[in-house]
Amino acid sequence: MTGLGVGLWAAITIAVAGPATSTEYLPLQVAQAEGYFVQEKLEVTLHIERNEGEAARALARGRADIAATSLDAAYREGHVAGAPPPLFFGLTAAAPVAILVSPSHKDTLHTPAELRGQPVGLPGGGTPEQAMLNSVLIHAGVKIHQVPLRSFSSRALEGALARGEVAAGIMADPLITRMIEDQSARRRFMAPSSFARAVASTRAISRRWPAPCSGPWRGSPRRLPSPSCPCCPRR
Amino acid sequence: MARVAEATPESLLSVLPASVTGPPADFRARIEGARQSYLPRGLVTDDVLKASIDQARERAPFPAAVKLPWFGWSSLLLGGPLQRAIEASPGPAR
Repeated sequence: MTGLGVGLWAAITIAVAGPATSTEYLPLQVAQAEGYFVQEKLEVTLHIERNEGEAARALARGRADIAATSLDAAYREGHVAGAPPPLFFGLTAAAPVAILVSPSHKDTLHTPAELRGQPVGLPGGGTPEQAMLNSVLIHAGVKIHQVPLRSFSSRALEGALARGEVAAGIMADPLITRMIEDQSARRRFMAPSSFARAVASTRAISRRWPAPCSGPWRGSPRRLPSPSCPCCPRR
Repeated sequence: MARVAEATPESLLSVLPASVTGPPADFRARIEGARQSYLPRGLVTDDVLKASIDQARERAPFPAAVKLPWFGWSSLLLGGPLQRAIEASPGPAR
C-alpha cells in the first residue's frame, strides 16, 4: 500500500475471459497498458481465464473482484447463491463473428434458414461463436440440433470450408478477412443489425463490495476486506 | 472505449504486449472487424439487458437456482458510477 501522503490505492483482480487476444476485452488491456487504472489509483491485475465460464466461476468463488465475460456465462456460472452479479459496464453488443459459406455451396445457401441439415464448422463448443450461431439459427427458425456441427482449430476450419467439407463456418477475424480476401469463402451472413443492437453479449460484471467492516479486521472467513475501509488488509 | 474504437492499429500495437496482439497483421484484421461491436461509452440500458437475457434464455433456460427479476431490470444494473464518470468528463459518444 502506498503511503498516506500519496493516497490510498485499491487493488482489484479482474478475471477476463480468454484468449488474451480476444478483441472483446481489448479495452481492459488498453486501459492497463496506457495507465488509465493507475490514474484512478487502482492497482488492477488482469487474470486471463481459459474461457467465459472460467471467468464467471472465478467471480463466484471469490478469486476475482470483477469478471469480464459474457452475460450468459455470468448469470449461469457467476451467480452466488442464485444472486446474479450486477453489471456496471458494457463492452460489446455482440461477438464480432460472421458465418461464411463454402464456395461449393454459394449457389444453394442464401439465408441462415438454409443451414438446416448442412454441416457447419465452428472453433469449438462453449465459444462465443457457438452462442452466436445458436442465436442466429433460432431467429431463422432452425433448432441447433437440426444443424450438424463440427469443431475445428482455426486453420483446419479454414481448410474444411475451402474444400467444402462443411457448408458454412462461423468464425472471427482474422480468419474472416483472410478467407474473404483469398476468395476461399463466398458469402457472409452477418447478424442482422437490429439483432446486434439489441444484444449485449459481453460485459464486465461487478461483484457487490461488502460493507466496510465496523472495527479492526478480524479475519472472518465470511467477510471480504473492503477497499474503502482503511483498516482492512488489501488482497 | 473511445481509444480502442478510434485509435490506429499501429498506435495500439506500440503499447500492447505481443501476448495480447498476436501477429500484427492478424491484430489489424481483428481490430478493424471488432470496432462496430463496442458499446458507446460502455452504457447498457434496461432494454438492452432484457434483450440479452431473453436471447440467452432462447438458447437454454437459466439454472433454476438463478433468481432473475420478472421486471425492474435496473436492479441488475450498477449504472450510477459510470453515469457520474460520463457526466464529469463528457466526450465523444464512443
